Amino acid sequence: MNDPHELESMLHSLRPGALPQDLRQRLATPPTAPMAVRPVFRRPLFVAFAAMAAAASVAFLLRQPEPSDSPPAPLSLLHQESTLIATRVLGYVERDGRMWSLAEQQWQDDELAACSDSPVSLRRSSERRELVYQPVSFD
Amino acid sequence: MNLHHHPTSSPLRWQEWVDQHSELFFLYARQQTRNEADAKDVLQEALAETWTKSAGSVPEKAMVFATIRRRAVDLGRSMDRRSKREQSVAANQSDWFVPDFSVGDTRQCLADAVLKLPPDLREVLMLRIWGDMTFPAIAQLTGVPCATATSRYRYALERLREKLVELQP
Repeated sequence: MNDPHELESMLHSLRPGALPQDLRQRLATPPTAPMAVRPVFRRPLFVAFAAMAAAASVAFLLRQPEPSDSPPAPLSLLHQESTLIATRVLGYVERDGRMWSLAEQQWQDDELAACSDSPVSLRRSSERRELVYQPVSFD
Repeated sequence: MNLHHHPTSSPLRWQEWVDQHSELFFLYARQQTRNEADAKDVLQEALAETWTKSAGSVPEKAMVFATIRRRAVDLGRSMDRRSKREQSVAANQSDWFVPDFSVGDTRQCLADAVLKLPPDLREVLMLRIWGDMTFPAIAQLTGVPCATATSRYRYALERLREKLVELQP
């Protein structure tokens, strides 16, 4: 067993165990919602604004001495900014005659929304990570 | 390295990809998580994420490994309340590899020895042997210098060799 190649060969001969049946069933159908093309309304953003709208509505109602039939005050987005914090290259791949790098990007999203009928403003900041392909240029 | 184009939602392509690679990815997910249930969840989510993000192409293995790793880390951070008992359960699973009793005890002992390696050595070994990744790619994925990845692989082989020597009459 002093030959390293013999040991590596033995390791290669070990085959990963089979998938459990329940997991195989969970993987029986492909995911349906494509994520490669970012939708106009991203889900986290939509959920955040739904929460902001709810919070603003509650704040607005609490300010009123009596119940009112008027609709909740609308929110307007004052500021939205996404900042690339870090990029980490994970690997490279050749495709269509070009080199591409697979990179993990870390983004920070900042949003500021305000209620037009009351002095309520909401600020949201979150971080997310994405895996992206980037073309590699050789200058 | 050629990428295969296909409709993203093609069930046949998805199934073909899952059939070909999911056992390897599940092996890595088990390595990265604390228990079997977490490994299943992480694998399912990672495969779905990489498949949908790679619209039109079969996802690269490096991308899947990276996604599994990231999701496992995120899950681990959110589940720190879990007991260490579950960690030991995951570490003691004996079906990470297919048993082959026709070749005697050596391979099974080798499989057991792999499971008992320290996680950082075992991760590099798995990515190199079964993931077929280069050391620079492993270094990028695990966030360590390439020399460290190479050393970990060498240490892992050394430990396995010692285990096998102990078994010899």
